[in-house]
Amino acid sequence: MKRNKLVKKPLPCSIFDIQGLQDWLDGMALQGLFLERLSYHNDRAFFRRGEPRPVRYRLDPVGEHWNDVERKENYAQMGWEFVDAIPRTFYLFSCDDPEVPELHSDPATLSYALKTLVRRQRQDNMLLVLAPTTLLAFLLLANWNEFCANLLLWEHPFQPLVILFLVGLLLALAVYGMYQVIRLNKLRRTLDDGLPLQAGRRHWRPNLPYLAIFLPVTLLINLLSSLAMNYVAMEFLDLDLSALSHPWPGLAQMETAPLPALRPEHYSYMTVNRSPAVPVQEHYTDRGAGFGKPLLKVWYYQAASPSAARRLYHLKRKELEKDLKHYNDTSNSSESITGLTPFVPMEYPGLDVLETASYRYSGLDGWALALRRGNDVLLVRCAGSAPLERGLALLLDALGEEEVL
Amino acid sequence: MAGREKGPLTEPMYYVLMSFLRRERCGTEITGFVEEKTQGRVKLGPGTLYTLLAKFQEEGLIAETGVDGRKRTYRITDKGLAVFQEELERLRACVTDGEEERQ
Repeated sequence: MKRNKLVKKPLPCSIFDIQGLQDWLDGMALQGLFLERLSYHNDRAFFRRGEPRPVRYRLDPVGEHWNDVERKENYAQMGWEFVDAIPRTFYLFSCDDPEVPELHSDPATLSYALKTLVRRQRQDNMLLVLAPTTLLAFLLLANWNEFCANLLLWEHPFQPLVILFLVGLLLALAVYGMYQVIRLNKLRRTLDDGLPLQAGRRHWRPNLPYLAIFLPVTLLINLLSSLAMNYVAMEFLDLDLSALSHPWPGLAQMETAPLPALRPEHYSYMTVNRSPAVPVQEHYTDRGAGFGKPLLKVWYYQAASPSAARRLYHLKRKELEKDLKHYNDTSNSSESITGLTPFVPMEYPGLDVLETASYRYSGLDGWALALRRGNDVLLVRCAGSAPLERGLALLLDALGEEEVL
Repeated sequence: MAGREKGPLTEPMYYVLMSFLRRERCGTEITGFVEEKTQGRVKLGPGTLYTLLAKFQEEGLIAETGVDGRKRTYRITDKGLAVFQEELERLRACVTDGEEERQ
């Protein structure tokens, strides 16, 4: 039983090291291990045990046609038996008769046979790099605004690092692919000059199952990427307006009448964050309990420069408009609204930009505004509370106050 | 040297092309011809033979004339004849040059 069991060995060299692989397989035969099959993707060769004897193993580049049965039969007639194939790359033939001529007796012809392989390798490399690059570019473009906003705000600070890592990985793949093509072309030049092939250096390869290395590494990369992508730097806190940079109004200040139905402690919260481009980032939601109760949402950003503020305003205003449109189009969300009007620019003294929109939120009048003043960017959604004019006046009063932090 | 990638024909290329001068041949007949003609000096491996047949066909030096099961026969083309003639003259010049220098 033991004799029938296949012996598994890791490949000691690249499959493009033709002479190195042939020498290794010939050496294995002299040790009584005869190649049964070669698993390129698992980086392993499987051997059958037998009486040690000289057997020649030779690699034959795959031509235009894959699984060329005619070629295998013709070779067999001339003493070379088909053993296995490395998909789209090489056929493997063996011969145990020392009188039979070499599989490739003319180096220049072998070089010609490698021509198709080099071309295919080049195409495969391009595909290998282009396909994930296209996917990555598509994902980036599809989420371009979020990506740019994140670069400014660092809400997911590891996200750009993960993308950078993926780009680095793609570059490494491209370089490795180019290196293989360069090696093959060098091999062809050697053969064209009529020189014999030289075996390359053998790698040290532990005889561990392929999955034992591949799986933990892949899982680790996936886990780290996933953790990094999902990591949120923002702090989520209970609403405490006195802890924010400006004396922003809450729903209680926005209202002229008391609000007995409100239970803000259950539904109100705030988030804070900072980044080099936008050192002050605050958001708070102050709302009554349940659907159809007054609502106030404020986002405030203080950018490090007017240009960062301009860029941030553009991105965040777009995001707010998109969210409002989404809530206007859906009827089954607790945030659903109706009658949304598009944002319209308004002139207001002291402000660089002011745009406002209006809507209805569960029977309550609602409005939204986006404004920029120097390095400050402010976005607000308010419903069932003060009208736009009063809300704007209160917010601008707060914005004009010195920072309390 | 029309029809080839570069440089002169190698010995196996030369003899494979030569094998078609008198008649059409299939793979095993070519191997036999080369072995006999060179008295075993040039050995034609199957990888070399079938790569050469594909190459010569691609370059228009030979053409397939028939298929009988797995057996394919080929003939030399006018272009193949011209290439062979060119190579013959090159070799002749080489021999002449060598002999001249030896005297």
